[in-house]
Amino acid sequence: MSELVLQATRMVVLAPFVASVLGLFVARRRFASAVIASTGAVVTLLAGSYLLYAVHHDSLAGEVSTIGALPLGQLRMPLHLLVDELSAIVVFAVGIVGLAIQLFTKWYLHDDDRYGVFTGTVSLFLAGMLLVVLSGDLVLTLVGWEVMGWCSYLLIGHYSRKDSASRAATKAFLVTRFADLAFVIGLIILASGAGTTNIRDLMATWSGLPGSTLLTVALICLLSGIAGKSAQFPFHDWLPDAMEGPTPASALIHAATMVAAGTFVLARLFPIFVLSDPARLVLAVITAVTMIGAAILAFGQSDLKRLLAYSTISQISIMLSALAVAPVTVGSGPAVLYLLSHAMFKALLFLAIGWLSVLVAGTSAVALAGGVRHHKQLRVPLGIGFLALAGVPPLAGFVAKEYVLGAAHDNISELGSAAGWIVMVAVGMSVVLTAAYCTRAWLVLTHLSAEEEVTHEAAVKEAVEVEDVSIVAIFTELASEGGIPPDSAPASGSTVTDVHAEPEHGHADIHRSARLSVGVLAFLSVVGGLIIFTPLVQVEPHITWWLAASSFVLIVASWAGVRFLAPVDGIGDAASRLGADRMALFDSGLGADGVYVALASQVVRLAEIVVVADRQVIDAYVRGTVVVTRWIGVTGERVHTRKPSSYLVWLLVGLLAVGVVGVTTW
Amino acid sequence: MSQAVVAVNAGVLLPALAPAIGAAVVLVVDVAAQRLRRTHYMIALVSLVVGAVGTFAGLGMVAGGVRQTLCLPGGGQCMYAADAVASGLQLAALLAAGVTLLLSWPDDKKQSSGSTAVIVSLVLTATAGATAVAGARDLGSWLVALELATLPTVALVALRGARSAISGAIALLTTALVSFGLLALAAALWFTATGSGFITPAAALAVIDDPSRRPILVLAVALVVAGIGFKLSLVPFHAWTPEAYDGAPLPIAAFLAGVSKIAALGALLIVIRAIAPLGAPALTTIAIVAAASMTLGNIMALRQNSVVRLLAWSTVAQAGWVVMPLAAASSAAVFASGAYLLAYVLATLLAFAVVAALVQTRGAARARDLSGYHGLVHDHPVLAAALGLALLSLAGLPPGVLGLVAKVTALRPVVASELWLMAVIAAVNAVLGVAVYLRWLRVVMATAEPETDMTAPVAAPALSAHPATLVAVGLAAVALVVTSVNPQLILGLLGS
Repeated sequence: MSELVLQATRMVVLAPFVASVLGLFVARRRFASAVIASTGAVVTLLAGSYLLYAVHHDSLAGEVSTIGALPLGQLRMPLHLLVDELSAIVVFAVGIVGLAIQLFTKWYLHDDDRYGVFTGTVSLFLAGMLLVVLSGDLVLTLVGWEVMGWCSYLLIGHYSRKDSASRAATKAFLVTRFADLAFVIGLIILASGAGTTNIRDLMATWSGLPGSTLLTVALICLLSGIAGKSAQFPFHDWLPDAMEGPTPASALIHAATMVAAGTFVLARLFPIFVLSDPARLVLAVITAVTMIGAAILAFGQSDLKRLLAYSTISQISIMLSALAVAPVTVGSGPAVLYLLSHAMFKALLFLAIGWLSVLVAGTSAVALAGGVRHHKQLRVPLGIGFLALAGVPPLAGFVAKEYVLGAAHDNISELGSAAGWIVMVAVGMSVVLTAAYCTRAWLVLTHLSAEEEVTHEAAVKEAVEVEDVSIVAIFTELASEGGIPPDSAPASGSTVTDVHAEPEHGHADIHRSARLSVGVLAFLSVVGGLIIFTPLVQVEPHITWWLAASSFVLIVASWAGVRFLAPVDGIGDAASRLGADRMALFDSGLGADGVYVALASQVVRLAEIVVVADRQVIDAYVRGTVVVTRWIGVTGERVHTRKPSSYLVWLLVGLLAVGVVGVTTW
Repeated sequence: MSQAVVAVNAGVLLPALAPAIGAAVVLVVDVAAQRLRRTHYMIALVSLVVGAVGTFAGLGMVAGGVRQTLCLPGGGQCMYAADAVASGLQLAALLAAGVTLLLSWPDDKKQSSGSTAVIVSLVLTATAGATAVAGARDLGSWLVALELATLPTVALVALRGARSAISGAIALLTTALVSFGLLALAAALWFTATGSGFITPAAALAVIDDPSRRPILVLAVALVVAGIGFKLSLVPFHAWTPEAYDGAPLPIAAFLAGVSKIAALGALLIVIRAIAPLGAPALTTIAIVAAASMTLGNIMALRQNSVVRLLAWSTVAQAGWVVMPLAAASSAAVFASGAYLLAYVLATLLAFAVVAALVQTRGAARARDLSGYHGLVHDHPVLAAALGLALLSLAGLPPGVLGLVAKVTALRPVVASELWLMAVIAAVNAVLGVAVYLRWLRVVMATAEPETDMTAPVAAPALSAHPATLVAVGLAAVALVVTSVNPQLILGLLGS
């Protein structure tokens, strides 16, 4: 490997890390923080792009040393980074999403006094994720994994003045930490069994032991941690609560980083994961349950941001299920493809919803109702996002989902395992459900009540020209460096955009860079599927046509059904057919939080018993020594009368004792 | 052809000869020129330094290495033999005496009491006894040297003339006399049992084959433990300690806590080394007095409000630690005991030196009372730091690493001999000791001034400590810091 590749690889991880450390020093200064964070993200993206180029163009792949091996005797711990096709493309995706989020955050949190801290934490978070992605060593994976866990705690709890935010942060931390217990055990088993923490070496060792029970145990332990970080059942409930964080944090956690880290680690370990059928079956069951359950819950959410959260849970399940079923010949390609496309459209959706929520001041369905009609610039980005999420051809989401279905199909035809059937059925159902909640959200966003419809029409007619705010428009605006801020161009009050866009939200007009971020993500969500024709992802460019056709039919049917159900009054919310009681149940995640609390309270009760036992029983001995010591001291003072005669008595007693004991015990 | 009765090597005897000659010179000079004060101290310091240099040759000798003189003709036994441990003890005694002299350095502003020469010569005499006893190998010089180290201290305590000094001196004198009687009896029994005037392994081994003489030797050892237990302040021979320390001038209390203890341990080690080859499983007597000393010493120290009395009781507790390894009766135990003593002497001298400096700056009443130390760290940060280091060393807590190493060293022979009960008692007392010294340190570190300070204006105006006292504090503190950074230094002196 050339020196440049070595340096670029290290730079990918170091740049955001250095940015976060430097950011700490200037956290109070908004502009300096923004410059440092953005610079870090740009450097990462450039280095990541170069890596991608080097890996494919020059076929440079291999290990990169970091701080040198740790001297641990029999356990080899070289602490290498690993650059190959898999890590290069994911680094690139993380780089894009990271930069987009940094740019968007600068606008989104423009009046937040803790912006500097937030953006520094985002940088550190990205460093953690990139370390996981580039890691060629289980120890480095664990380090990055933990850094992300800690940063997610900080980001979710950014509004720590709010009780709900700090509870959500604590909940996320505790749940993922709890799940991580088994993850660490799994890593230890893998490392100790192979005598090394180097991922390629240990995979080579374990590959020689297919069907090993220990391997299955280790992998199932890993699955626990992955289920925690990726918010899979039964550890899923922290993610919807994590919506308490600022929207850029949600985009970060949901799109390319934390929740996808589990998928990545499993994709990295796919060569040994594929050896254990029991572990694969466990993963298939977990993902099937999560996929369907989360999609149903998404449909009933009264808060659209939480709807997106549940959709993330469901989508991550699809990603992971690809790993549960893909035969060795297919490999981890479909999962990685899904990871990439999901990163783009989910980041897009979150940023766009965040943008809209700033304009209408809220994320509930009621607040957002009709949002894209009032703020037309968001119509296209949100539309693309939901279409991609629903998997409508030919967007990125569609392509990726076809590959997952294809993997399940291959599994059934080649291996005929139960996992294949489970995943096939679950993904099939989730296609319907995903389309349903996407349709519902879109209908709410575009709904106008009868009288609003009238005023809206009038406004449109009055408008001199209806600005076509599309991707193209976003780009052209940027291209035309006229010195006029994009949103102030139609300030003459002549466009539809302006009808309801009086700045009641008190927020600055969106920055050009934030708008660009959204535009790029939307563009990639549309054309991202073309990646299958490049060598960037290890998949064969093929589509199983009958699967594609049938899923498209399912999507259309689902769309029609929801459309039929949606009421014309209110906010046009199809979920309102469920009834207010059931929607409350959906909002509470079917009481998962209550189960967590009930479990935790048992632990707390046990801890209280231990505390009582400690104070009343163990400490009693300690307090007893104080009493005894004091008593001896008082007695001692009484005995020492300070009279010479008493000294002689002491002496005599001592002499007798010493003489007798000395002679008798010799 | 005339042959000397014994062969004398003055170089080997120098550690004992130098202070003795110094004492004589001081008296002669005093006769020749009265009213001199600082000259006496200078002479004394020079003689101590000469003696200290004389020990260098013996320091760090490997096991078995010994410098001997006063040998009987024809390759016979020697009456004086100093190995590495003895040389280390001698050096410590000479330096401790030096610190004592620095603490009692005459103040130009005060009128001479006329007893300067007497005090200096008594200090030197007692020091000569302490260094001599460490090398004495025959019953006669052992007994004489030990008493030479003890009796001058009675006069030193009494010379202050105050009522408390007299009562302290009486306490010291009565117990000293009784203990001398015990030691004389012990010497007689030793001679009876072994038929030898030498306290050597060879003499002790003569008893092995004769069961009827064995109890006599055992009783002799028990009496030695009792007699020396008095000088080491071991329970139950300790009762004089708080009275004498409290009554004596502060430098003399430091002398009692330093040089006297070194003399006593030097004497005890000679006997212990002599009986070691007998293969006693364990010296139960020593274990009992050690356990009693550390426990009672710590508990009583916890209740003292006078810092001198606290240090006195701390001496009792530390003496228990000093003799504890000897319960194992091995050569490693002798080394461990010596090492612990050196660590204890260093830390205790530093504590006394700081107290002496505070007596000079804040008045005796305030410096001798524990509550007078409230917030010392703000008034005198350097002195407080030195005191803190001394107390932490005594407690055996880092950064007083020396104390910690000494405690571990002392415990090692006990554990090796599987005296588990002793080890447990020692562990409990380590905890008690921490409480004792941290109780003082907590007062020193306290931030807010107590309400009793409303009377502060009445207190004497701030005086400056005597430079000699500060030199003593500095020397002891530097020595403690250096040995804490590198504890191997002290262990190496004794030839580990």
